[in-house]
Amino acid sequence: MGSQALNAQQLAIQTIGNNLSNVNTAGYVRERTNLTESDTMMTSSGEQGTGVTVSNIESLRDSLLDGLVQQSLGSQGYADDQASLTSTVQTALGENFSSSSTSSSSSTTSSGAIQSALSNLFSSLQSLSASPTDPTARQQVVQDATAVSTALNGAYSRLQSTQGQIATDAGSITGQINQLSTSIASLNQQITSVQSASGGSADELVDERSEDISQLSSLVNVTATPQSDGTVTVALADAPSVVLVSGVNGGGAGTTQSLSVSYDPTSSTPLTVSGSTSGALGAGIPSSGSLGSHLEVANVLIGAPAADGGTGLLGQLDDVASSLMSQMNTANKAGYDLNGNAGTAFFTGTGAGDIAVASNIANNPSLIAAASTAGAPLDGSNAAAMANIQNSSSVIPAMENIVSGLGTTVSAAASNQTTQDQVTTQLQDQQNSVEGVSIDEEMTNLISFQQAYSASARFVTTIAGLYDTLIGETQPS
Amino acid sequence: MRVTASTYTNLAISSSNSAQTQLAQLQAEISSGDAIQNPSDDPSVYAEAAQDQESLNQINAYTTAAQTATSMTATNNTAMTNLHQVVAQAGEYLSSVTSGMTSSQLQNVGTEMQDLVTELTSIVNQKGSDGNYLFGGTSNVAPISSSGTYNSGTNGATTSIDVQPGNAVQVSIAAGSSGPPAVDGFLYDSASGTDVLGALTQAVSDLNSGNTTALLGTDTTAVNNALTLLSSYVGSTAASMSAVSTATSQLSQQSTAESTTVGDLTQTNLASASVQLQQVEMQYQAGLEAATRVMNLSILNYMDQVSTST
Repeated sequence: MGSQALNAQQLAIQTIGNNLSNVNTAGYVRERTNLTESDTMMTSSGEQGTGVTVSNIESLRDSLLDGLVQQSLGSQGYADDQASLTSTVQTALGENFSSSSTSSSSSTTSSGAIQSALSNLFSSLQSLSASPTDPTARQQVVQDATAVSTALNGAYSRLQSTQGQIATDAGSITGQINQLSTSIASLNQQITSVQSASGGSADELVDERSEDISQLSSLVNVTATPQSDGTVTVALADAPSVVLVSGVNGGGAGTTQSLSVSYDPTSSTPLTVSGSTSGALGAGIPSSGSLGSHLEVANVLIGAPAADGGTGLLGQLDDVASSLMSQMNTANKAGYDLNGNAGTAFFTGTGAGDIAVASNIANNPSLIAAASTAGAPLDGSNAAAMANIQNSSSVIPAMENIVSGLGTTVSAAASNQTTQDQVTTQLQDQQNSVEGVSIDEEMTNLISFQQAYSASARFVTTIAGLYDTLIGETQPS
Repeated sequence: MRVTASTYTNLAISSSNSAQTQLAQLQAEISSGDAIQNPSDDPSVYAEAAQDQESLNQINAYTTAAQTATSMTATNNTAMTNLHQVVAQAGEYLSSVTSGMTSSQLQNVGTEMQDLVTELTSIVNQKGSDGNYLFGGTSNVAPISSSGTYNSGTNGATTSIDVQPGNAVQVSIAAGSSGPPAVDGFLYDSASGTDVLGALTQAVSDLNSGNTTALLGTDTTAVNNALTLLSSYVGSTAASMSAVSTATSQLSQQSTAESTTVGDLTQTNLASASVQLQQVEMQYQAGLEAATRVMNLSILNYMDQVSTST
């Protein structure tokens, strides 16, 4: 009985040691040594206890909380990346409010490079209308128009580059997804081996697999379904038929499929995900996790050029540039230049990416058709008509809408991130409350088991002393 | 709720991150003076500020146009006033003519009248600082040719400048010509048949020829009509000046109001930001203090004390 008690307390102390060792191990679920009273035996005096036995070492896992945390991590991964990526896109667009002091008493403000450049262009056209023969005014119009095209080209190029970087990053994420799928499949195999060989629960391996699933959930929204053989099946939550891990097969190493991304900036859906056996997944799949966020920002927020049917930022910038080009070209063709000749196209290009001031006008500003009638060099009424394009809702107000719309998206993403962070933190706290290790609790238990161990040892010593006394007294003198 | 070791750690990290984010935002606001760094900082305020900024840009453009218009309308008014004085002087010369004057006396008046024609030509053919003829319409030619007659290349087109949305002010006036083709302007009006240059040159001719009948009759009437025509131009150019002045004043007020609005929306309120900074700073310090105290609490400390004392 004493020996049993010593073994039981020792095992409990070892469990505490294991808990304390893993106090900072991610995914570790605390264990508890469950002790039960040994079977009683009948004596002449009645039932008598026979000590203590270890019934099991229990892993204090809460499957409900584990599932909720996994789900929340998927949303958290989406929210984190959405906040980060939309903010990057906002920086790439480059339309920030700024003020600069011009003297101690005054300052100028600007609502962004493109908007300022557009305002300057219309302002210089207005000046040209008052002084149509002034070469400086004409040169200023060319300079401001060039600034507009440069600002649009720059923003467009930065957005395209950001989209390319997001695609590269998405490729890296699918690499991590495949690696985790492989790892989960491998753990499935180890768990079933341990369970079939020893009948044990393989708690450490289950913890490790659970941590892998959590990491996978933050990358892509998946469902993990436990199977009767101890394995889990992992499939995309948006497309249950796309199974990433089935039994011992997963990711790149097994027969179950791996994911990959393809990027085509000229497609209406530039970034798409494919499964090695399922083929191309539908638009917007996956919808959550880091990968879902990358898809949404690349395909919806930035989108494709207007020519490819895009309605995201690239498409909207194209629309602004096309509207500006169309209206300016029509107006300039309707007028007459300083030499009395009919005007030509003011801008060339197909959209925001390649809009440019027509080379003949850029090289010779006298070709700006400021006059409405031929042979009237002092007539600036056509320049005034061009300046009035500033009142068109499809140019400056459209640009304002693009920027404020993006601001709203970024702000909402940041707000969603904060909310999701709170939700995940609360769930993790709850999970941690059940599954985490408390040093104080373990130390208190350690003292308790240490004292029990000492008492059991004293019991063994006492029994040994009794036997010594008995043997000494009964020896023949 | 059961509290574990990582509960304290997670709380400390979370509150520290939150405070540091707020501190960084406030530091950026205070050091840059801009309350809105990015549109996402406050999308609705950004949208309002961007619209106000665009309005301010338009007002500034109109203000620049109004400055040009002020200069041009003032030049027009000065020219019309000077012309009016020239023609008034011509009227005075004609009123001094009597039927008893000798041809020599009439020729002397004719010489003075010719000087007035020269002065009139000088005013009408003047150029602006950009070297363009001011009153030749939009064709940029001298309204009166070197031979003293109307230049056939002139036209009667005038130009306007938008000094406010929907408020175009006429900033040029044309001299006009008796033709052919006849072009209305301040020297010629087809409706009344008034011809300012013609009236003066006819008077010179009649003075030199001693035609007192014409001088006292048709010439005097023609000069009076010319005076009436120029009076109307003095009035209309003064009205243009006044319109520009009113617009300039309104633009100035609008500019001040919009600048204030944009500033209020986008610039940092230093007093408020400083108070916020202090609050967040205290919050951050309190969070760190709490974390340090709580995380140091452990049964291990007491176990150490017990083992030391024993």
